[in-house]
Amino acid sequence: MKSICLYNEAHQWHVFGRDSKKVKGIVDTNQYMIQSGNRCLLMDPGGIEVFASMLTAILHHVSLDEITDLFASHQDPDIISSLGLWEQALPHARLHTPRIWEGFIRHFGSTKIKYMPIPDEGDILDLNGLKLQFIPAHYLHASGNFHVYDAKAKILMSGDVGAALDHPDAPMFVEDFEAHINKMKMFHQRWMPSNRAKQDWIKRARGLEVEILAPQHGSLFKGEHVQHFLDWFEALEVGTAVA
Amino acid sequence: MKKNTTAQETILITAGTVTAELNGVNEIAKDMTLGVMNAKTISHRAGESAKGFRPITDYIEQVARDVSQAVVRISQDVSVLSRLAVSYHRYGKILKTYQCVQQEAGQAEHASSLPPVIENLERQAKEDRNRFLQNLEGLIFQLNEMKNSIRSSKVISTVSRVEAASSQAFRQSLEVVADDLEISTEKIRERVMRCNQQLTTVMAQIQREGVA
Ligand SMILES: [Fe+2]
Ligand SMILES: [Fe+2]
Repeated sequence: MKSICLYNEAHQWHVFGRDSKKVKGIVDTNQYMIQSGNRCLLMDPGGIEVFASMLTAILHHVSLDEITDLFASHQDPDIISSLGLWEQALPHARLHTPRIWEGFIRHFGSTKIKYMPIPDEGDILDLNGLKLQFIPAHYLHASGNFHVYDAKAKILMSGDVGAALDHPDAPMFVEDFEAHINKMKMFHQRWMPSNRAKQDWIKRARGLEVEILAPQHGSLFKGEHVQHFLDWFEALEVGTAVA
Repeated sequence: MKKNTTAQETILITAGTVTAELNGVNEIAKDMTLGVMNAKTISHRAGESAKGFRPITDYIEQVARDVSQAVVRISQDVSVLSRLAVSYHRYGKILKTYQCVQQEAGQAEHASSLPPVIENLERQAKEDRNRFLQNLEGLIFQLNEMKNSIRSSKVISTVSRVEAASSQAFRQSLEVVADDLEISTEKIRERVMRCNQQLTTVMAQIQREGVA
């Protein structure tokens, strides 16, 4: 599994992905980690299939007792089906997840991890003095859904928003935005159910200073491509499975 | 059974088979109860000449009741065993995953945080295995008890025949009762033996495999 440091100041952001050992046929995912002193937040830690590679990759950066918090943007298996495996190593950790999904996520075989339900309006997590915002992104695509914004690093971890179904060795950052549209258009039209929800999120995102938009699948958007994405997504008709 | 099937997987399959066999046993016990009701009517009609037959019908009734009750108890233990197998299977798989990570992450700076997790998982897997074996032993014991309790039926059916012979008018009907008892108990014995055999095989496999 590849790992890239996205931000390296008083605290660090890492992205993990492009797992070469991934089982054929499963969607490639990006996992994120913020390290703030001796506390770490693992975001959308991924499915069962990437767990071993992910844990191996993480051990190059931090020890297990430093991972104090987990975040699941929503309940999908590619987001958090590894929970039952993680909790063997992190029984002390807390899981921040949309309020409505707790009872569903427990199906992934966890009994020890403490659930920290995020209220619908969002919340702030203090990670060793670093203030991280849980930004509501409901119905994008899950009915309870949050993104993580770090105002200091100017990074917005955007879950399935901005996701592209790309080949496993796709570049970590979008290089040609126009060419990238093809890889994300169908995904957004089909997976995102609500134009109203989309507009609400666009408004929130435009209110944030974002240097990197970090989706859970495919390449990340940096600099001007963040604005390109917001403009493109704003104009896109979603929920297209229903005529 | 496939060669690469683990003991935990085998027990899940076995639990299904054992449950089916036990359901079969229960059906036979029900038939025995019906048959004995019939025998009671016949012996009643036979009057004095079939007096010696009554304790026998009482006995058959008792056997059918005991078998049914044992089936309920054993079935409950089988479902506990299935649950234990799922847990044992799960921890075994988790342990294997972590052992793989330990191999992969050998050079990682923080690899030293893994051994305590693995030790904990090994302990858990061992506990699960012991609980599982205990339950399995208990189950095999109960099945043996059941087999022993119906063993005396053979004697009883012989006695039935002697009694039937003394009742000239109903001899044939009473002999049918004796035959039925013999057939039923033999069928139960066969099914119980099959259950026992399967569970003993699983037990041997687990003992061979050691901790997950
Ligand atoms: Fe999703
Ligand atoms: Fe996803």
